[in-house]
Order: sequence, then C-alpha cells, then structure tokens
Amino acid sequence: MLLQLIASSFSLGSFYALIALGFSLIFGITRAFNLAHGDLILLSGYLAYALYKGLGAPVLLTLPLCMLALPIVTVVLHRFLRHVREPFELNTLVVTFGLSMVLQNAMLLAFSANFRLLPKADFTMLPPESTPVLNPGQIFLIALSLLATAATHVLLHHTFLGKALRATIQEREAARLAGIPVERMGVVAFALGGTLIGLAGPLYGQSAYLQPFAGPEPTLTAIIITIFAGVGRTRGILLGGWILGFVESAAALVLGSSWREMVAAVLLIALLLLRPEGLLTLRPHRESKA
Amino acid sequence: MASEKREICLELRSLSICLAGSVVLKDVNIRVREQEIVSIIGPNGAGKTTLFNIICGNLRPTSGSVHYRSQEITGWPPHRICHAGIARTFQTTRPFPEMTARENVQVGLYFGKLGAKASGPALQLDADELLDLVGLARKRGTRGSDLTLSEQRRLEVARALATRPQLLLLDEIAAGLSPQAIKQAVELVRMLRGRGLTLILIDHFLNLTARVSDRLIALDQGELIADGDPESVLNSAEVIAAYLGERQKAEQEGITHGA
Amino acid sequence: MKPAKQLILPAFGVLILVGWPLSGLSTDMHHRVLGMAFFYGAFAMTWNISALTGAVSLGHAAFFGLGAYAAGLTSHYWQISPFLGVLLGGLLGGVYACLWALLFKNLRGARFALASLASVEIPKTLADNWDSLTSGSLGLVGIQSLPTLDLGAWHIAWGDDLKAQYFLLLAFMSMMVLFHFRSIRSRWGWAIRCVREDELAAAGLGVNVGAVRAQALILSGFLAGICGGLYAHLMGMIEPALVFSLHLSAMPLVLSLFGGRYEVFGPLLGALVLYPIDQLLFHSLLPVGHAGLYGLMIIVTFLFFPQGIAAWLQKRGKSA
Repeated sequence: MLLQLIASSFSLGSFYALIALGFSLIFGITRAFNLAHGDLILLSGYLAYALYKGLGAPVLLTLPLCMLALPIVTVVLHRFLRHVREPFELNTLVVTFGLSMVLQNAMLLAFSANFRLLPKADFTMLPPESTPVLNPGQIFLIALSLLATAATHVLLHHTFLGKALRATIQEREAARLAGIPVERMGVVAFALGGTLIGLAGPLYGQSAYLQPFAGPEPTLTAIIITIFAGVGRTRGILLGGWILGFVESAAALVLGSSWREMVAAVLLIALLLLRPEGLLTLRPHRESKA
Repeated sequence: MASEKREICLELRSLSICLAGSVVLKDVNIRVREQEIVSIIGPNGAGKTTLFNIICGNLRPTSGSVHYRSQEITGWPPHRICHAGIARTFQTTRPFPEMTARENVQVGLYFGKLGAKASGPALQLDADELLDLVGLARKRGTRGSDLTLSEQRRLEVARALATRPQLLLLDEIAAGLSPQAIKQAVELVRMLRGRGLTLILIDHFLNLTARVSDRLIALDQGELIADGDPESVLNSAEVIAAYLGERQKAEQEGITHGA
Repeated sequence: MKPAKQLILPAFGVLILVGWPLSGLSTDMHHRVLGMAFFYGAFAMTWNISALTGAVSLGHAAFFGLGAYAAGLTSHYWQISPFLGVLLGGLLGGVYACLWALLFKNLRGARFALASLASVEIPKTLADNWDSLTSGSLGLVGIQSLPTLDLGAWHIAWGDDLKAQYFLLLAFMSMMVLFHFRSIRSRWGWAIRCVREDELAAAGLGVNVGAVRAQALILSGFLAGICGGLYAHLMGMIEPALVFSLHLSAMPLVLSLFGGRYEVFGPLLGALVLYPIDQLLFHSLLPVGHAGLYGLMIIVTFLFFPQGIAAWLQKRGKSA
C-alpha cells in the first residue's frame, strides 16, 4: 500500500515537474503569467489525439510532432503578449485568462465534451505486468519527464545560452546592460516552454482523460510548484513536483479523489501567503536606501 | 536661536532598525523643537530616508520610540500619523499618476489632518493657492505622471501642505534643482516656518541646508555622528570623513566601471 | 462635461429601457435577454467595486455561488421568502469576503488574482461533495421562483411574467448603479481611487488604505452574494459547476474591461452590448462554445482598447 502510494506519487510528481518546468521558464524570463498553460497542454494532447485518430499516426510519433507544433503556438502568443502594458504580470494573467476561455471553448467545439484517451505507447518488448508497482505506461511517463527535466537542467546550467537565460531570470536589467538580448531570450523561453508543453500534452492524454475544461488543473499545479520552488530552479521544481504528487496522492487516499481540487487550492493559497518571495525572480533587494 | 525655549515637537528615543538582516539605524536620538528647521545630512546609505519612513509609520522600528508633541506614536499606521499633523514628501516621487496636479492636492485637503482649523496657525489654503505657492499654477490640469521630476517634487510639497501638517518632512526636494529654483525653495521653507510649521529636511547634496537650517544632524551608516549648528557640523572631522569616504568610494567605482 | 450634460445620456437610456417594453413592440425573448443583461451588468458592477481599489479578482464566482447556495438551501429546506433568502445569500458572500479581506490583505496584483481564483475551489468542492446537504454535483432543483405581488387589480408575477421580471431586474440593476456610483463619486470613491493609484502616497495623505480595501471587498462580496441568491430564484435550479464556474468569474471582468473599468456606466455598458451579442448572435451561430466570445473579448479589449470602449468612443468623439 505504502509502496504503491510512493510509486504513484513518484510518477505523478515527475510529470508535475514537467508541467511546471515550461510555466516556470516562461514566467521567470518574461514575467508573463500564463494562465492558459494547462489549456495549451490540453491542446497539445488533443493534437496528438487528432494525429492518432485522424491520420493514424503511431502514438510515439505524436510526441515529436507536438513538440514541434506547440512552440509555434507559444511564440505567436509571445508576440501578442509583448504588447501588454504594465503592470505586466497582472495584465498577462488577465489576458491569458481570456485565452484560456477561448482555448477551452475551441477545444469543446472541435472535440466535444466527451472524455478522450490516448492509448499507452506500445511496449511489446516489455513483458506485461513485469513489475507490480509501476506499469509500463508509468515508467514511460517517468522516464520522459525526468529526461526532459534533466535536459532543461543541462541546458540552463551547462551552456552559454543557459547562462544568458539564467542571468535574465535573476537580474533582468543587469542582463540587458551586460549585452544579453533580453527580448530574444523571451522568444527562446516561449519556444522552450512550448516544447515542454508539447511533450506534456500527449503524455497527459495517455495517463488522464482529455477533456476541454481540464486545463485549469495543470495550470494550478504548475503555479503551485513554481511558487514552491522559486523561478527557474530545475532541482527545486523536481522536488516540488514529487512533494505535490505525494500530498495529492495521500490526500486522495485519505479524503477521496473528489477533494483533490480543494487540496490544490488550499496549497496554493497557503504558498501565496507563506512564501511571498516564491514568485520573485529578483533577489530580495535592500529596503529604502537613505 | 529662540527655538531653544520652545516645546519639543518630535523626539526620537534610541531608535534602531534592522532591515533584511543588516542594521540600518543604530540607537539614534533626535529632538526637534517647534518651528525649528533641522536638516539631516549624510552619505548614501546613512539611513536618512529610513528615519522618515519610521516617523511616518511606513516602517516599524526594531527598538526605540517616536514621540510627537509628548504623545508616543511608534507603530501608528501612516494615515493616523498624517491626521496627527505630520506630512512628508517622497524621495522617489509618488504622484497619483492618473490624477491632475490639482486633484493630487485636493486629495491632501480631503483626507488630511482633521479639524485643522481649531488647532492654530497652520496653512489654510485651497488647492489652487497651494499649487501657486510651489509654482505649479499653470500645470494644475496636467496629469501627475506627465509632470517632470522637479514638478513632481513640488507637487508633493503642495500635496503634503494640503494635509495641514504641523511637522513637514521634506526628502531631497532640492535634488537636481537649478540655483534659481533652490532660492525659491529656500524662501518657501522660511515662509512655512514663519507660518508656524516645523520642518525636517533631508539633504544629501547640502544644496539647501546651510542656508536655511537652524541645526544639522549628520548620520553615517545608521549612526548619529554630529548634531549642532550648521557651521560646526559641516566642519566636524567625522562629517568630513564620512563624505570624503563616499567620494573615494565613488571614484573607485568609477574606475572599475571604466575598466 | 457639466453634470447636467452628463445626466442626459443616462436619462435617455432609462427612458428607452422603461418605455420600450411598455410600447408593446418588444417580445418576451427581448425581455429575457435584456433582463439578464441587466443582471450580469449588476454583477459586473459588484465585481468592479473591489476592482476599483486595484484588487482584480478572478474569483467572484465564489461569492456568487455561496449566495446562490445560501438562497437555494434555505428555500429548499425551510421555504423561506425568496427576498430573505437573497439577503442571506448576500450575508454569506459578505462573510466569505471578510475572510478574503483578512487573509489576503497583503496580496497585491497577480498574487491577489491567483488567491481569488483558488478561493473558488473551496466552496465549490464543498458543494460538490456534501451530498447530504447539497445533493452534490446533481445540484438543487425546484427552488421556489420569485413571488407574485398582488396589488389589487395588478398581479405582478416576477416568477412567470418575463415583462415583470424585466422591470424587477431593471430596478435591481439601478440599485447596483447607485452603489457603483457611490464607489466612484464620493469621498469614499476618492479614497478608493487614491488606493488604486498609489497606496503608499494615499496612506501618507491620511487615507486609511487597509480599511478602504477591506470595505470595498466586503461590500463587493455582499452584493455579489445577493446576485447569486437572486440567480438561484430566477433559474429555479443550481449546481456547483454552474454557479462556481470560471465563466462567472470571468464575466464581470470582461464586461467591466470592455465597457471601461473606471466609468460609472462602464460595466453596465459592457453588459448591454456584449450579452445580447452573445445570446442573440453567437448563440445561434455557435450553439457550443459561444462562451469563448468572452475570452476573446478580454484579449481584444486588452490589446486594442485598454481603457474600455466607453473611453475610446469619447476620445474618438473629441478628436472627430
């Protein structure tokens, strides 16, 4: 029982980290608060579903296709969001709130309110039920989530581009002065975020039902983990994902799964109240110089 | 000065404050008498604006107390301190951006000190007269955010006066002003004192101080290093050292920036 | 503009809105759609009362839903008078707003918006899971409709007669206009404006910032709760997914943004333009997913008319 709980929270949590990663990158680098994050993940999931159902594409192939398609969507989104005025955070939040409604209704129109599920990726080489704790689908989910997180970590910490991105997260103005093209970093962030969203979509569709109005939940997850971890910290995000996965699984076990949304909402409110620095990308500056 | 015999207007008793783990003010004791003009000088980071923030209730001191007219006001919320008769201007100006200059001043008149008429000689002017006083009569219809920096500074003085204060705290109002404008500011400060106000000025660049102050108080790194008449304070070894230290630091930074 | 001149347009508007149904040219569908436009306009104004202090809420569905459930449950179990139930709805909304005011007093901007968004989930999940009280996600059905007023020869059936309902909602909306007007044009309204534009400066000039923010939020929650209570009796049935929906949280935001957040008639104008367009035009074109229109309007308004159409039209009028 406990083993099962840990296993399921591990797989859920790893996937949560993947969800949060894209949000965190985009928010950290551009200050754009993307409330349509979850809806974009759903969009990617539906795209995979359409490719699979409509064109008969193998499920595994939908992954790279979505990872190529979603960055286009997010970069276009970036072009629009650049025109949003100050206060930028709040205003992007409101605009993407609108976008979230548009996407939900567009997906409703295109795919109806029925629950859709993508088949699990085909692993004929693995004997069925080879492991009692994690099924092959979960292993696939964990492996890809961790791989993507690791790749992002390497990109951020061991490449020149990553250095520029991190500098932009930490000290935006200083980065600009140091000659980093901050605007172009924004495009990069949205493209990277889009790739991660693209990956998350088909994975979402394999492990949970696609439904046009399901988007706010992953958005909430991403925000909770981002506040918990601080912006752009891959290891913190992974840890946050696991903790959130564990808390939600445990809460579902004790209270029943119907209380899950409330648990997430209470967690978010608690984090907003207790960790106000969680959404800061700047280091806390000294108060009032004389 | 005759002010020696007057009542004490504001008293700070062994005020200390820590912000973000560092000591910003350490055991500061200051007394200001009614109708006195006192300037607080000191290099960057001395804790001057923090002092204003504590007096006005924007920050709570770690220890020590603030007394205004023999009443302890430590930890009062800012609006209550305003109603008690203390008004201030901000170093980084904060006009209401979408309101016209006139509306900015009207806010002070509307919400400032209550029952000011009963309590003596403070200014009783309407919004246009106040704008005229600071030389903004022609800008009364301009939005706060469209004013230049020096106009915003003057607007803040008018707005603070609109609350009918007995004690006025002016934070760097002379920074970046032309000699002509500084002369006007000096006249304004003298006139206000003549009307019965007590004034505390912050003056980093010593533009205003020497000419109008009865007394200077020098701070350096949160500590009070000199308190007395302008001449003796400006000539004291500690003050010279503090300012020289800053200049050297600035020069060194200039060199590293240049490299 | 002189005050007298400012009143001409609204007076004209009232004349049309009152006179048109009396002229006999209108149909029941018009009464229904315009009546609901009044209703959502009123709801938008209650939202705007707190938004005027700068606290943009994405969670007013919480007050609305709590109000609807307070009215629905008291009607369901005790059959109390709908008017009393509506008032109870307001009280419950007000109590929840008090909680917000207390807990969220240090949250600003995006943080406040997020906290408000999350706050909807708590009463929603409760209503969804407390089966024995609320019948869960099935919702409450058979809530009493609005009563009939007997005035001798006149029977004003607010529940059944859509024309009577139209006038009731017109009156309801006018009451909210009054509250909204007081939150802009009064001493309190000035305090609200100061808080919105610069809290620190406002406090230094004698405005009790904390009190103003709390008062506006609590009044807003109370009135939004009243809207929810009225909704329960208008519809006769409520369910958690309906009254705690994202759509209801977004609606007042869209209408106010579109009409102009800082104008007395802004939110109402937004409702009178957008709601009929949605219901009469888009509803028939797109039976499914027409609610996306509101999302689209947020984006369009934000990118092209950041001050709202009222201000934009005024500016155009001046330059022309």
